[in-house]
Amino acid sequence: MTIDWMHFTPWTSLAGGALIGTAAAAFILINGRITAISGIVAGVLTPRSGDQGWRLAFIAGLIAAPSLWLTFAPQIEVHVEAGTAALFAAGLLVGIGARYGSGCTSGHGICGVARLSRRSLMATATFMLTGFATVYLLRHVFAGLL
Amino acid sequence: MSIFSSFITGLVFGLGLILSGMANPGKVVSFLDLAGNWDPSLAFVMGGAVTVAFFAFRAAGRRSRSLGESDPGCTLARNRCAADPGQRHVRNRLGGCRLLPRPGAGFTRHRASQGADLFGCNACWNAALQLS
Repeated sequence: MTIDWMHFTPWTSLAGGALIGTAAAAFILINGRITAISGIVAGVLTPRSGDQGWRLAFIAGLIAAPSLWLTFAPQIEVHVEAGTAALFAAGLLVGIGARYGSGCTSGHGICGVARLSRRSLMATATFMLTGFATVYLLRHVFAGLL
Repeated sequence: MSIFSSFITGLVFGLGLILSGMANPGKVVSFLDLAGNWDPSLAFVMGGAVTVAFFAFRAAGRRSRSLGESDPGCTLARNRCAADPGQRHVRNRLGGCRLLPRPGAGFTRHRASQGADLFGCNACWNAALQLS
């Protein structure tokens, strides 16, 4: 294992994480809900008795963030090493997995782990480990074949 | 449920994602690439977020209702479910529970009573949380 010191950003990542944690904190304390992105989006797509407003407002805030950022700060770096078909397939898998596992990196990974939920710890360990395995296979085992 | 607080929370969450570098899929993949040029940043994002959220959830657990309680839909009595999905009941989403255990299904509190097998693959799966 070699550490990529060029791209490793401990302080901004820690600060960004604290900001994410602050959002999750505000959400549970003010709105009494878990900040679970996949669940919030899923709730919009499967409408039930009028709880759409806050979901749409949250998503709007999320989407507005890059514009606000770009007003005051430099370009946002985005690297995607995949074609359209791969992205489509990956997005589908992520979506199915997040719903089937009842949560994603925000609901399980941050909120669930923070409340020491055993199921969330299990889910987070599972998607992290399968993530490690998938990247290992794609980059180091089958790299020549794909 | 306050529209305004939801919007601001989404905004702060999004800014956190950008600041932390997690809006960049390449950086996330670099974290997952242990055998390559490893970028540990994601662990710091999780660490920062979980540390802050941990204290918030502890504080929330001591309250009987959320701060935005004016909305009757958002008293913590109801939201205890959100704060503690373990209380929520149980639904099997795919029906075919023989094949795919859900993450953590073996940990549900029904385990003792129903005698989950090695993969937690029986009716207790229905207890898999509906965290949303």
